[in-house]
Amino acid sequence: MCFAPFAAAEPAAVRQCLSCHVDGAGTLDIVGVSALSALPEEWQFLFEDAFDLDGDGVAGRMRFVSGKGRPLAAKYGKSLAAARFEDFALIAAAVHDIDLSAPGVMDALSAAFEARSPAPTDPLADAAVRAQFEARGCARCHVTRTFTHAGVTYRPLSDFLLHEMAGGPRRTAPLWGCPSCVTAPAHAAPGALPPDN
Amino acid sequence: MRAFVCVCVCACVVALCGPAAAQNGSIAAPVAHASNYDPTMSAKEAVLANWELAAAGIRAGKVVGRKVAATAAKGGSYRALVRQAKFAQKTMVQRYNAAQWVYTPRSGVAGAADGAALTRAVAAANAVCTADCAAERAAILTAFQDATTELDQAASAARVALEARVERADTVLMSEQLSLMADYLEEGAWARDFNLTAHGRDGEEVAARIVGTLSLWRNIEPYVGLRNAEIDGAINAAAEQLLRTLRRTTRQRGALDPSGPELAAITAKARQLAAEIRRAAALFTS
Repeated sequence: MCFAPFAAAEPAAVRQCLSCHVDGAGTLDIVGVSALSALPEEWQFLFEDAFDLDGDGVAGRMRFVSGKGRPLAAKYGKSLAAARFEDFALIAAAVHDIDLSAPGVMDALSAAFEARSPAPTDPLADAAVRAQFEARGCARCHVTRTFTHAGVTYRPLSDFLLHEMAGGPRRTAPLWGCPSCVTAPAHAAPGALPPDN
Repeated sequence: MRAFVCVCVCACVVALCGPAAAQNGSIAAPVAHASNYDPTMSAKEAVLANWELAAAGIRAGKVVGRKVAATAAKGGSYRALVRQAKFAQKTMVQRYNAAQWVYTPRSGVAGAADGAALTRAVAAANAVCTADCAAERAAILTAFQDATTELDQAASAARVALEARVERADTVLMSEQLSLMADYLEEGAWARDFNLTAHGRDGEEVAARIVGTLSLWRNIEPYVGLRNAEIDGAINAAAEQLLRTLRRTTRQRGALDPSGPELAAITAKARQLAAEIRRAAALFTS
């Protein structure tokens, strides 16, 4: 069980969630909670290539999830399990046996995470780093396109699509706010299709 | 094809675990997650997701096209404008073509756009500038404004069609969706009315249209698998054959001869797949 004695004014369920997500300084381990909620609706459509028809060896697809009667395009979670922060929180809470059903708890949780989440930074601000990142092929999934919300420009470095990886389908991890990630040794690329495919 | 294999395995698991009975036109959803939010779509949501793919996809093209027009109106670097326009027209062409299945006669959705403005936007984005580029910039502005209007109409038509289906029974929706796919693949509209022949991009249009139709299968496959695993597998096998043929015949190809071997090969595989999909549609009409 994680432990973090802070935020006593917040609901117990919120403190339970935060206890595993913040460090000693109260900083959340999830970057860009507010920025992700502002991701443009068209984002995934710009990059989707579900069957690798462009022949670059990378297939990426959107995932739709339930939205209480209407389908929604998912963007949260390593396997794109949810389209909304609240839905993803419910999934995580169920895993950890945390009850978020009391009135006001979800709003408090959302506010707590947004307040503590570090604002994204651009790891590719250095042109040389960006050139190397692109030369290594990372930008095929960790796309370098930006979006602007409320006067701030963000570079999430993710297409928010599912790719077939060694361990199964995985969302491209957003690398915003992680300078070490863009220079780290490359992970295995998504499975390339055979030449005749 | 790895993705289809994965989907097939998932469907088989679902078929073993999920309730297969359907009553009053509803289709039971596979039970895959145990929490107080289950991302698994209902059968109706799965079909609506396909309409959403069409409507939101075309809208995405409209959004990026509108941004190009705004940039052109503002001035600034012509080179940067062309870079933006080339990226945008790729999305616009792909999403417009991917949604063409929507306009098959059975859907009742009238063709809202003929792609003429989109063609002019592609031409403007690829124009060669040798002087001050003022005329080319103006052409981009006009062409992308017009294309945005065209895509807006197409997206609106798809959205209206989506909304009209929200109250329909699951089985009606599922049967119609599968029939629309089969109609489109079998009838061959995907091989006609190319907009980008002059730009050597027939192959790209064919690929976008067929893949846009195949993408629908991912969302609804679990519900077919629940009813009949054999048909599910047959569709996956035929889809894989079609995709292989499509890649071999359209990659790096410019104009396609309407009576040439490439389109004949794709047509044969598309009809095979359509026949399997019709079997799936029949599962929801009895």
